[in-house]
Amino acid sequence: MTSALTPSSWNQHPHVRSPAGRTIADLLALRSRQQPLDGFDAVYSDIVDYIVRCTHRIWEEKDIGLCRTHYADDVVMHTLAGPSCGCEAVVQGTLGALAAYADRQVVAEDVIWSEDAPGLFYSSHRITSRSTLEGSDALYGAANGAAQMATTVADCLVRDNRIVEEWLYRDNARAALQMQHAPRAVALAQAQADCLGDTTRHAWRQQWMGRVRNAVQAWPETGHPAEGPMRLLHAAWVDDLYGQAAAAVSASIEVRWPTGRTGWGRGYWIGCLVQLRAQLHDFHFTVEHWAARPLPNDEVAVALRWAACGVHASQGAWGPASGREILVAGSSHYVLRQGRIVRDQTVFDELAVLRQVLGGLGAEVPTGGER
Amino acid sequence: MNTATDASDPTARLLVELAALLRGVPGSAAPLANTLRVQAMGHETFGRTDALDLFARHPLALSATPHALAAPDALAVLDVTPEGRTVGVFADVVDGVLARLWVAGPVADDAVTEAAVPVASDDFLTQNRTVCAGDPQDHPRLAALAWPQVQASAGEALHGVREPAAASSSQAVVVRAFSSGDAFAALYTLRVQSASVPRHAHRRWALAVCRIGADGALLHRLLAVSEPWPVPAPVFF
Repeated sequence: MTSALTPSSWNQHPHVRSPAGRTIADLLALRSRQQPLDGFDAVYSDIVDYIVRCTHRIWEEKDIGLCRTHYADDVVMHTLAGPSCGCEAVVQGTLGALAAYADRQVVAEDVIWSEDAPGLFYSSHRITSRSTLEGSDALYGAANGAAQMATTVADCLVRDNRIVEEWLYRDNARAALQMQHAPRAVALAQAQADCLGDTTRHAWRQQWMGRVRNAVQAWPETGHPAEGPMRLLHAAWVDDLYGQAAAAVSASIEVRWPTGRTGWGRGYWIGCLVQLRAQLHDFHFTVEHWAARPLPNDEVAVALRWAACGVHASQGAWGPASGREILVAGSSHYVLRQGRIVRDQTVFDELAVLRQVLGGLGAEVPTGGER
Repeated sequence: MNTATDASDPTARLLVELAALLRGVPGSAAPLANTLRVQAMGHETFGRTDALDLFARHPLALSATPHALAAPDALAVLDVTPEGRTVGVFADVVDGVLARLWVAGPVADDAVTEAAVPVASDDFLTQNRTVCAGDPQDHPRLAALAWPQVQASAGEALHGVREPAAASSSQAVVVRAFSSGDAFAALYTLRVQSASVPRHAHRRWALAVCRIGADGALLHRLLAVSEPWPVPAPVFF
């Protein structure tokens, strides 16, 4: 799915502001309608307000039942651990999370949106949430006071006040470490569970990898801010021209990637890209959606939702080569200043990657692979 | 370079609010972005409430007359603590709201950096190495005349690191830089490579506030360099 409006549309309604740099009082203030939002509840002033406020109402004000008026009955939520279907699954998942982590503060870092067809909005919502384990978590056990501070990108397709499809990417390996658990051990337990029962439930992963392998890349219209970052990622991950790609980003780029990877400069940016790519042979990569919005202080935010796949045939950050086909799907949020990337915040679920490496999520076990 | 004293001036007002935040005043009314990210005292925090908690634990008192330099989207402050230590504070500002903050100064005893997957990286991408990575194009509020002194100050910051370092493998990255009149401020992140084997690196922060002449010559430089930040524990899957 790609943006499909006119070339100038990425910065329409400039008074619909990013949450970046705003106070909580400003974010929660009620406003009159700032842009056409046919079919949306009157409380929402614009699409950014819709995303930030409904998240606040559901997670912080605990009106979880609002999911029933904010998600379509047949919503599909895609994650790298598999899809979940239906609004009631969203309700039950939210109840479970809040029963374990009641104090979750869902801080909206940015909402990068587009109107992909009249009345059909796409928002890429970057959230960093702080929460404490005061209940019981299926993955991490009983209350122990451990605190999480993980970043999530929730990409939502929204129409008539309801999210009709969502892609949810969370830095879950970082969260595991914060909960004092070894990501590999958590992923191995998940992978072993994945091998039980009817494994056709994991068919989604092969289907997704098939789409990545066969994708013909669509590109933004000329002048769209997402074009530059997309071309850089292609230069890096498709053509393996990392130096040429990095030459077009800021020498001062700030890089934040999953599981604590944080650094500055072109060399570190290349390091993150190469680390992932070096482990996966027969590599395929595609950008599935893009959006851009103005930021304060003359900067621009770009959101790219992407997917990649390849054969885990080289040792690297994920351990010894497993020989398995691996799907990595994530979202990269870039900040552009003077047209160059000065910040790259990339989120993907590295725990779900490890789960695949360790035989989970329906991975075939080829000859020669080692666990 | 100016010293803020007039509370009706926006910069002076912001400085007062920044000082209140740094002092850890409970219920501080400082206009803080909900997404405020702070890198100070060897801690990184995210979100307004965690920033308030950090400075409540580790208050930092500015003097009555710190050196301050402001731009519409930034505020740089250099000050000397009662112990005689130079401390630098740099803030990103959005519509008068403090949106991001760095403190180049002491590191707290309880400082800890989150564990991270190590990434092999080449900071230089050439054998023709320079100590300063940056490009004036990325800092539109910086006068072109100031750039050579921004680079020179990076060298001074690295030179000021006391422990033996592999100078040719250490580098400063210009994170922020802006000019105001004949003065400029530049914030750096330093990656300091040890001289011994095995080679380890650590990170510091530095803030330079300088005045230059009409010919670009350095007239005055104030520099604050943080203590070494904790090195993240490596995550091996």
